[in-house]
Amino acid sequence: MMNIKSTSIMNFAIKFYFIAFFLYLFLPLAVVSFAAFNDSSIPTIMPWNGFTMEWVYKFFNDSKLMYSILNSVIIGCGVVLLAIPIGLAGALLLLSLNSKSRHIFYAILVSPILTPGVIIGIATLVMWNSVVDVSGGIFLTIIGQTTFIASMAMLLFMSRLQKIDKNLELAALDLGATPNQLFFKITIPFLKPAIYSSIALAFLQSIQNYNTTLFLIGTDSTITIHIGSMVKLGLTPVLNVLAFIIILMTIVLSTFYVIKKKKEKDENNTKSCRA
Amino acid sequence: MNKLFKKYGKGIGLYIIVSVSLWISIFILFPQVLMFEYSFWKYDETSQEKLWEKADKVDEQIYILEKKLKNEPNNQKLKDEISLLNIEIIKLDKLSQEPEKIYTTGNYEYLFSNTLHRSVFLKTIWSSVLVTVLSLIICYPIAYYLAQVASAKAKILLFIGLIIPYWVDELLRTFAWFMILSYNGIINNALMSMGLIDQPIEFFQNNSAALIGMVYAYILFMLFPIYNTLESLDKNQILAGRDLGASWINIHKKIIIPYAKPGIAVGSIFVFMMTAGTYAVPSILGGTSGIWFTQVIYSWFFDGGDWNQGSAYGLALLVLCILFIMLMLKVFKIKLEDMSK
Repeated sequence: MMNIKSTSIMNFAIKFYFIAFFLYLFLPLAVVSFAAFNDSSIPTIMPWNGFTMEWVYKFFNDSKLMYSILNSVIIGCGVVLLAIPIGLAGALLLLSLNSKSRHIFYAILVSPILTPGVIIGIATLVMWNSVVDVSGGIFLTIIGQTTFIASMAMLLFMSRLQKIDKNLELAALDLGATPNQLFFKITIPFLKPAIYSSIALAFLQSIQNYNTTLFLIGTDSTITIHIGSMVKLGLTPVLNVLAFIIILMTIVLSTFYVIKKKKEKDENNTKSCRA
Repeated sequence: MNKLFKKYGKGIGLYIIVSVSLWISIFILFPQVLMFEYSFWKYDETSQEKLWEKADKVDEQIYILEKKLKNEPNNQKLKDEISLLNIEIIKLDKLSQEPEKIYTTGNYEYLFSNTLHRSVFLKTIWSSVLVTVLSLIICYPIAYYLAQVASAKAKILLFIGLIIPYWVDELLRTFAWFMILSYNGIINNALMSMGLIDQPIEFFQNNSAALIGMVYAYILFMLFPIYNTLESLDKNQILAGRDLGASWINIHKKIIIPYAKPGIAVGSIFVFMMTAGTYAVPSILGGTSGIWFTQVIYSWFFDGGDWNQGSAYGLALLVLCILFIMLMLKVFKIKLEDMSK
């Protein structure tokens, strides 16, 4: 009897903790989103002055903000184009090395993820400025972000490549496939899901990056740089509209991502059951 | 290397080698090496003055010689001497345009002799440790129940619930807390209207706002690694422990936490590194007094214009993070390669 009582108290405590934790995660996001529609000149939800679309309208007419968004998209595309092929090359190399040299190369290629973004920004700026006299701007931002986003892409490719069916490759070679055909007909199609998810990851990481971008963007602007300066220099709920749009986009993308991951896992499970 | 060419052929093998070597050299190593070099020299401000003085003296000499030349216009030796001196002037002019580099450890000595910077550095370390520990304590129960107890259906929902805030960027999440904690923000408004306080609390002036913001910004980087390791823990181990009469606390202490070690190490590394290296959170939630070490670095680069000093400070931060990583790997006895799992 005592035991049942104590477990039910325990269950209640756990539930309470979970609810508190998720409130902690989501309330701030809700606050930011609702403030986008409050009829107030500063971002707030208290007091609530009534619903307005004024800030949404102003958001789309804010040419400076639109310019920053365009820059972020350009940088994001540049990073995707550079980081995905580089990350893929890194994964292919690491998986074909013997364990000793693999150790060293792995440490080097993963190190950008473990380096604070600020440091990558500084080092990139110092090198490009002093060696080839390139100063901060869109180009350097792409270079700096690629440094660590390529590592993230590499890890995604590695985990996918480790699941490849070796028999499939051997069969292709037995049937007379050239190494080139093997790569484009077997390896790349197998990697497709990893390619899609690494593109999504690279683009999201690039657009949301602040610490590295801050050192490399020079006098130009991106979404995050714009937000950073707005918070300091004068806030309007236009920023909340931007936040609301990003949060909405994230909700759609992450729901999609989780469901897809789940499907993939189920497929793998049924496959291994059959085997 | 041979294996690479054999498996993928010449063209693709070449692509792999070229892109990885470019990545390692131009993107990763060379910038760090140059930052390292930058941190060990500075410009000698006095060198220019010395050169100018020298040039003045040469100028005087030329003046004297030219006077002499007026008296004996055919003296070839004098003419040669004057042209030589003129060449020297041009040389000195060129040299004096940029101050001389001198190699020194002065940039590092400055970090430890400047009491303000030193205390900011120490504060950054201490606060980052605090944020790391807080994140671990808060999310360990969540990670455990998510991995071991929650049903498959609940898991999907909870997972979506975790990924959404994880993917919303750091800056926006910080902005949310800015709205909540600011002088006329939501908490102050609520407390005042309830009559609990008569004056707004200034969360930004002490470091509480920045710490709250950091825990909020990076906690999920702790949760996911722990969840990932715990997911593969065999439930039977826990059941066996329970059957043998182990208490709830002992099951965690003896079975679950040891199993979660790699996840805890990875999570701690990420949270510490991101906290120590953040510029976004302290610049929005830090108020005027709560400066963070990254802000000092930033001001060396863009306000002070002393990149050498800034590089030294950056390197100090990097060394701090490397030491922390090594400590974690050692304490939890894991290898770097276990991290990607």
